[in-house]
Amino acid sequence: MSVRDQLVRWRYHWHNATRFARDHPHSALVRLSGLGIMVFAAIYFVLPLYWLFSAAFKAPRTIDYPPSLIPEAISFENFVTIATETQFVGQYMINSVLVSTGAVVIVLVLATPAGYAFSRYDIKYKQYLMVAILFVQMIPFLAMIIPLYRIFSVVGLLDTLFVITLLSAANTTPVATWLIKGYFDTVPDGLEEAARVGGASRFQAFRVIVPLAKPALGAVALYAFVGAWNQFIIPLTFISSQSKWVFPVALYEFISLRGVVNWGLLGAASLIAMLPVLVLFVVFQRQFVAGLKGTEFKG
Amino acid sequence: MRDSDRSVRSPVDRRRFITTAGVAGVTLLAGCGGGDSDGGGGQETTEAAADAEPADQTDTEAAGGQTDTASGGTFTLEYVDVDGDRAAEHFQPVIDELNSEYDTQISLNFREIPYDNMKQQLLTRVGAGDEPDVAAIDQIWLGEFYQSGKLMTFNDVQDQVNFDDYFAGFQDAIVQDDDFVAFPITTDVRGMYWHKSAFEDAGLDPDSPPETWSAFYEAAAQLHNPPETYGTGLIVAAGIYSVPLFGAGGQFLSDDGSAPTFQEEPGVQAATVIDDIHNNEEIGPPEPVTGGSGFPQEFLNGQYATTPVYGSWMDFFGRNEGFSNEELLNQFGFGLTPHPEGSEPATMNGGFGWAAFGTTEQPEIVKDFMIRISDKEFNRKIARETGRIPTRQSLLDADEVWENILWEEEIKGMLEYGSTRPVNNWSVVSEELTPALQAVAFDRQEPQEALQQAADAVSSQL
Amino acid sequence: MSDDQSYLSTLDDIAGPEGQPMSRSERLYEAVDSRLPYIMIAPVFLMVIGLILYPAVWAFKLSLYETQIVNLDDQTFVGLQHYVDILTDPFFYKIMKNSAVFVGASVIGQVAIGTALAILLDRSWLGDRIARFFRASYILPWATTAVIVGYSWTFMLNPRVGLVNEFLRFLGWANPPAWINSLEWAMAGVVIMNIWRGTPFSLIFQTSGLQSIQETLYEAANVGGASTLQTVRHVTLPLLRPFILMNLILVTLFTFNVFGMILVMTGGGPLNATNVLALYMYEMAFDLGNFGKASALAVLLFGFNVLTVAFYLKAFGGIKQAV
Repeated sequence: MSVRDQLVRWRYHWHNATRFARDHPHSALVRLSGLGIMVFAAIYFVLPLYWLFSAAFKAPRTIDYPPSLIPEAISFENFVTIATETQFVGQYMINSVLVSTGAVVIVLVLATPAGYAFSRYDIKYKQYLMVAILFVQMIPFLAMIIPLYRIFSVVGLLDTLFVITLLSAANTTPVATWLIKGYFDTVPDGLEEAARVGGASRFQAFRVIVPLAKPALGAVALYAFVGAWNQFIIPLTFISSQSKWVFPVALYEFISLRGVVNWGLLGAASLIAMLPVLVLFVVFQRQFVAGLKGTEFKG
Repeated sequence: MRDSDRSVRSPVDRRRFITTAGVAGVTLLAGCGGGDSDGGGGQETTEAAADAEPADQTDTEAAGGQTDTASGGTFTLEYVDVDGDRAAEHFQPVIDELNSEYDTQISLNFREIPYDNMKQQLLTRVGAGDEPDVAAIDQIWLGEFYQSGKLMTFNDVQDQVNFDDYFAGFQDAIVQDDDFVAFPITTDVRGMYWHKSAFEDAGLDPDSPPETWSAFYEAAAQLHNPPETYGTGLIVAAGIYSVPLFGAGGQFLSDDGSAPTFQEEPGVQAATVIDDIHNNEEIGPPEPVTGGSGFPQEFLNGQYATTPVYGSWMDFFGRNEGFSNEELLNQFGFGLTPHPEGSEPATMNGGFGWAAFGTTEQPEIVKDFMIRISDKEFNRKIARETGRIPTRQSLLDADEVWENILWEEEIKGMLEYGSTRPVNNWSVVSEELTPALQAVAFDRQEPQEALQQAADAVSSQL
Repeated sequence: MSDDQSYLSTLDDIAGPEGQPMSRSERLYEAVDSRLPYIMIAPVFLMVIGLILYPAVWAFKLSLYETQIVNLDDQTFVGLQHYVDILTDPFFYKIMKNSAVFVGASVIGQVAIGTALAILLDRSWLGDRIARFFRASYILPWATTAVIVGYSWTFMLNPRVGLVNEFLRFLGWANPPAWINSLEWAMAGVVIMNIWRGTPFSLIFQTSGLQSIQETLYEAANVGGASTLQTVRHVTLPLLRPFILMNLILVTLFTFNVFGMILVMTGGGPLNATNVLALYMYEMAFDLGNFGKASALAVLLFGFNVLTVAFYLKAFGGIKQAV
């Protein structure tokens, strides 16, 4: 689109907006304050990260104090350091992706049927069972860390990516079950009923309906992925070889020299560590928000 | 499961059900097992704590070389250290030496843990019965780990490692109940830093800092120019408090460690310093500093003209902030913390000790490893390559060791006055004392009252 | 068939494949299929039970013993002594008060802001592209790791040079608070950080809730002449109730267990102003090493979680509202 077209568009929008304001002054005020709130919220949510990332693009060791928001000169040296001297773009990323993807698979395989069953069938003590699976979230993880360590030590699974995958999945499965159950509640059962009338078994009916839940599954997948991606204490405790580090553990490298923070390297490494998640946001958002709208089932 | 065919009657689907279940199962395994390529190789669960008294195996005199090890086999020595100081390369040569001595195939698993998580990680592993073989442990945690009964002792090899060569303060820190449980690696001292330019601007001599507290208050008042620069600032916490306490002639605990003594006169005098800075002389920041993480950056950037007590690792922060060594030396002074009139100056030594866990499957090899790394030459190498202060008196004059250490003369002078914290019960003391000192700094309590309360709480837990 | 109460299962018998006798595998399949609901939920329970039952029972048992973390095999039975000690210690009530403020403010903030932003972004009055841009920017904090959050916010909230105070000065507040260095404002600073980090979850949760509201209801409100605010109040919010309830429950459970970010930011200080129950438990276990007492604190923490959930369910009119 050319600049000219753009200008024409903006003028058109401006025209519409002023007319709307003239005709509906009350609504216009509501919308304007809504917009104000949204802009303010955007500053609140983005600024800390913007600051961290802008440090990444400054020349190494020149984090001015107080920090300036706009770097005087863009430098990629921090990224070069990260890429050449650490395994951020390499082993750590592979590990993080493996763990998070594995967690997503486990969560989806476990939570989808469970959420569906909770939504569709009469299960004895359903309400209590639903609340019971939240117990995982209620018990402080730190109280369980030593017994878990003992279990995995006996089973011989310490220092494997499998353990962190499993524990990360266990952390997100309860909420995922709830989310999926909630979504199926909003999907009318007409399709399955038709299938069942046509002679399908319960399992076949489930199979018919699952593809329709893709958007909810997308949201759950994202939730499980991000949950596993950001785990810190679990990998720190259960992994001992550096070749199996994941991002959050590796990020600490730029902080821990007695609390010295190398903001430039930390910013660059954080940005690299966040990139895959950001890509997922962008890729998924359309599907996941439009999908959550679930327009097919409305009306 | 993508097809959305509605003709779900065919019996094929029943088979597909089974298949799907199978596929799901396999996916599950593959998904999670994906990264698990070289399985739990490094982790042997500790055999049994039964053969845990390696201290009694006294055949290590001749560096253990001749004793035939149980079998060929392999042994991975897991070494855990705080990150950022030492690296695997420092230790690999020692492992190579060991390999030529023993039949066993020895390899090193060098692991670094962030300082903030180090104690929790080690405690978790000790609690779960899966200790590493060797660990660098902060001296203030040694007492707790000693209580586990799992630390290897080195009484039998004291002469071999030349125990008496360590600085006096550190000799206390590594002996628990007459058991010699760790080798000091590096040490650090606490002292006063100041901005030379601020001194010049205020008409003070940047090369002769105040030596007594009253002179210090006077200087800080002249330097006080809020809100740009405060005359002084310090982190209000038990560790920092130790220097004024030692300077006033006090100690945290009685000699046998059974009762708190910090509430006595010298302790009150030391807490009064904190009170004075924040509430009486008003030469500090309006809000006392209670969290440590931003403080060094604030100091380096000129927020405080002086800080009377801080660790000798300020230069690490400085280099991280973009200062060169010359700039650091030109812009900052480092020296002894002020002391009360008519008494000796004081400083506090901190640092890590190398300890080994007797639960290792190869106590003999581990002990040999420990003896080798406690060697003076190894100490020389580590100190030189990491820029940390060595712990052996005989290295005081070794110039090459001090090459990377700034304020060399001052630090050497300070080492003479060093004492250490009570390493057996430091957690309890620190946990109670820090809030008490903060109550003083925030003017919620008077020193005497706050310290007495903390002392009562400590007594009930000792 | 064991669960004929399901309206769907009655159809099974008619649908036997063209009246032929069923083979053994088919019978097996039928048997599995009729119990499918339970088979479907079983794995989740296996995972939950497998991973928490033993640890939870273990922690509860230890709470009745005097034991140090360095030597957990050395246990002395003390009964309910730890609980008595904790519940008679005034310090515990200070911690509880902090926890209540931290959890209360964080939960209300996260759910309220998340819901408000979800409603503002809903129903594309802004145009899809702009809505998508805003939504993406609100979700960003979710993609960060807690430790990094702690360090970044320590810097953001620095009294003198932190961006927050720079901004407040820019708005004309000459003497903005010292945040994490101040007795009065430290908790506020920690809450601001926690809301920043936790709101994206609420936003996504409420967005999914909004999708379940049928378009016809909005149309009806519109035809009836309701203003935007009236529609939100009388249509959107009532229909979101179950989602808000669920969101409150989940965020409360998450927040009760937050300690890592606080540890990095303030270490619980100044003067224990930001010391919360989870952090106190961490210190008891991994700093003081008193694992028996720490386990008792964990059990109490679990108890408070259960109580809070029960309270929410009651306030919202029973368990059926959520499930």
